[in-house]
Amino acid sequence: MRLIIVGAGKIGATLVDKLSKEKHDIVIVDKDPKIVEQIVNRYDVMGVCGGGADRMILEEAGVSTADFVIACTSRDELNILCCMLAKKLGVSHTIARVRDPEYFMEMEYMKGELDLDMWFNPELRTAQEIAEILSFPSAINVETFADGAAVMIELKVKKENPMIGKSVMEIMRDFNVKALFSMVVRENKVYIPRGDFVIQENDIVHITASEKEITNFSKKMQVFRRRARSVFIVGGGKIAYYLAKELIARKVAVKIIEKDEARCEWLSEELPEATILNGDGTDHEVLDEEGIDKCNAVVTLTGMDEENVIVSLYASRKKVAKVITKVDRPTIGQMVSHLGLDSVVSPRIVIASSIVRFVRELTYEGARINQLYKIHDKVEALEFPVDNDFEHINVPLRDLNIKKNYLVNGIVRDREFIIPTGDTSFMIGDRVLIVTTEKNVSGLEDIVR
Amino acid sequence: MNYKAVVNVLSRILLLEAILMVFPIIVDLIYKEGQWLYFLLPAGCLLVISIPTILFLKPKNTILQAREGFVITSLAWVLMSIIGAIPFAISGEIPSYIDALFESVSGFTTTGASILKDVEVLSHSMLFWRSFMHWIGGMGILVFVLAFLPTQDGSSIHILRAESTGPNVGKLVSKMKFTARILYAIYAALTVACFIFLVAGKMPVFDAICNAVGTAGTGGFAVWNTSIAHYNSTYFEMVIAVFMLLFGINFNVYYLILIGKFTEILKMEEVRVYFIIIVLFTLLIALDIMSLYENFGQAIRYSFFQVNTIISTTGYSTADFNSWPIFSKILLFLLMIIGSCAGSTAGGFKISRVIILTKSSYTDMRKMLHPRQVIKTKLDGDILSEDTIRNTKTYLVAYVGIIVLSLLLISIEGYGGLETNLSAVVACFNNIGPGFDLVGATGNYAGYSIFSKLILSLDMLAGRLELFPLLLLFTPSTWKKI
Repeated sequence: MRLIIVGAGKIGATLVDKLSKEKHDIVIVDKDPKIVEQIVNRYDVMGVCGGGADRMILEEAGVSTADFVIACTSRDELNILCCMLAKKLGVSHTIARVRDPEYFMEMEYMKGELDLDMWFNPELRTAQEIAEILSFPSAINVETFADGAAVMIELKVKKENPMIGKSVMEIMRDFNVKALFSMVVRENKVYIPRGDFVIQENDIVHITASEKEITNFSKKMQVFRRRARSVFIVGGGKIAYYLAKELIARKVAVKIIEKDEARCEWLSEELPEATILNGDGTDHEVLDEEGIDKCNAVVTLTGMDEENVIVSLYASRKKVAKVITKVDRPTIGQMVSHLGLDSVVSPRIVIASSIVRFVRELTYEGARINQLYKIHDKVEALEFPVDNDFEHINVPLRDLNIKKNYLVNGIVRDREFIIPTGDTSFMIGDRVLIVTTEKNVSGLEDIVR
Repeated sequence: MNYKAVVNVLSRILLLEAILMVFPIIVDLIYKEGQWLYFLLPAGCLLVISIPTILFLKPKNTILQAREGFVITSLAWVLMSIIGAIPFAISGEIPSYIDALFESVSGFTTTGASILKDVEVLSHSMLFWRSFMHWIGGMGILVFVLAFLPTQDGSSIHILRAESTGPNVGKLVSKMKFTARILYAIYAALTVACFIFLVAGKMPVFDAICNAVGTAGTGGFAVWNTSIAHYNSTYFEMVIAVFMLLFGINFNVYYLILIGKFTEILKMEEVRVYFIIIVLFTLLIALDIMSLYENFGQAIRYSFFQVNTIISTTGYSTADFNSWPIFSKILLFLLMIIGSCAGSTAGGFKISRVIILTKSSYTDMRKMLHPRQVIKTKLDGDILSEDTIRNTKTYLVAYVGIIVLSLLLISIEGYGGLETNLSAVVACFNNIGPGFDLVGATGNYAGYSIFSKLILSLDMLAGRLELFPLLLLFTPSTWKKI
């Protein structure tokens, strides 16, 4: 695939990183020669210096023969204009980053008119991600599959967890849980566990089950915490707005603290149900006064990574049940994992997965991927639909020769989550979850030898 | 410094050199001169050393930074030359190893300067190896490695930058591998075209191969003592002259022709200036030397060939330009320094750098008159960044500095006059080959001492790699950890 990425900011750079690993031909376009130079030095891509809505520049980048134009500059208007121009110049698919709430309302409606194949809003996706974590506060991270019928949670095995020292099989039997251990990370190494795999302290386990079973499971594991009923948000940016909207819809009490007065006024107009506070979120007196220790969860969403980390550390010390930290720079994300802040969200990583999925779907003809979730650097969880084209319908899994490095991580049939055994078989209409360390998986056919 | 990655890439290059030595072995088997063993021995040793290194010394981190790029490039060229000299030395055809090394460096750097008084006594395989080195060195061996050997992830643009010529090196397409393949495909196609034209004019096949690869790399080793003059054929001279001209053009031009973007070519100032220089200098020299030849046509014939051989830094000769009037000699001397276009196989200071320096000096002078004026220097319609201008100025300083220092060093022994020594340094440094007086078209470099030959060899390498990779090799901070 030949891709043109316009805008080499945080998102653009992350996309170059992820997509160049999938062996695509990439041209990066940005106005700043220094940034272009940096990226060209680091990755095997071509750089073009200039504006994204400049016809000459797009032609120089080879727009007429390109398959994708992904516009992710910081300006929505420029992104939309760039994609329209690119379509006129003959590109096959366009993807634009649109994040202003005012435009976002009409985007689905305007998508066709604007010749956009996909649009994405990193702030909105991040807010949704945070809302999911808040509904399972026991987990570090949550990902839902098949429209919520299956949930994958990430859990850190802390001291006194009853799982320690038991094998996966024993846990399933002893606690009578209908859940599937998808993956275990131990000291930065990834394991896809078999039945005899023994869980140790400090392992990070990924477990897939239905929503009910997950709640059940975490109760039995004595890690259950009730879903957050009141959430304290520090920083009133776009993510905070989307998150508050989502939480209010779920009947959660929301408090937002924001420095800028004008922004506070806008927020209070748009979110009448939320409590909007004008003040400095990094001032512990303000936080104490507003009762940070009395809420179920704290989410730090200011524009500064360092502020977010500091406020989160303070909240953890105040014994807030759930603390979620937004971190933009991936390097900082790695550093804070040692500080005991385990729920860290990074908008660019969140959005990169969905674009990679979209591109991969169109790269391999006939590929249908419902969902792609990068659990770890080297591991992906994917969801595929089973349709008439699949050759091995109604064949029990034991007779299917499934390749190494693939795990059938569950089947969703009629909105029911099924843990696959040797007798289970794929049927038309199923949605199959796969966990794999292989790259570039494009369909169910790929997993069968 | 990522030593493991550096060693890994260097081993790949040595492996490649071993494979390339198969070609002279084939030539030897055809002519049955019994020299094949002298190629097989070094090739065998290389295989024994490089294959285990490639297989068992795998770097954990395969990312090559600018520093590794420079070190790999300069070490690769030094190693290649050292090994390329072995067949000459152990076969006894060039008895002194330093002489063989000079010849080998001269081959790989596409200089074409020789220490041999009589090339006709060499066996066919050695003659072929000499010329074939030009072809390998012309486009660059690392570019070849990038194009055809499986490489690791990560960007290798630093290697392309360090080995390619010109102030601004970019890719043609987004993947490094394909850029390198396109360059080599164009290079090979033009070489074959040159060969076909020569054979069509009934040149012996062996001569045609050697001359075609020598022209392609803009090298200049000939198979006869009198170089191209040996054939005394206007047809051969014109074919070779035109191909030398073509190989002196920026290879981007051929890529743009292939993809049909003709308007882009017209924008390239460097190519325009290149053609203007060739026409102008040919006419001026022809007028100057008219009295030496029967008619103006003959004068044009010789001046056109000489202008192309010098501007493309090849170094073939059809006339003893040492006996030409001083005005013509000075014109040729200027051409030696200027050289050809960036992104070609030729050496020299490069026309684009001359243009950049001229334009930025003009801009600076206007600023002296109008101190408040905001003015930008442009090349090909794009604004030149301050970085590019500054780098070009640094290049000029290093360029002049190396010439002066080398001139001093080779003059210590007292061999040759000012004309000989200055032209020897300039001709080696710019990868041309023949200079004036004792090192002129009919002379050679045999008279210099071992020390001077080593200095000139370093000059050739520095010139081919455009100074900085080699200079950085001798800079302490390249080797420091921080």
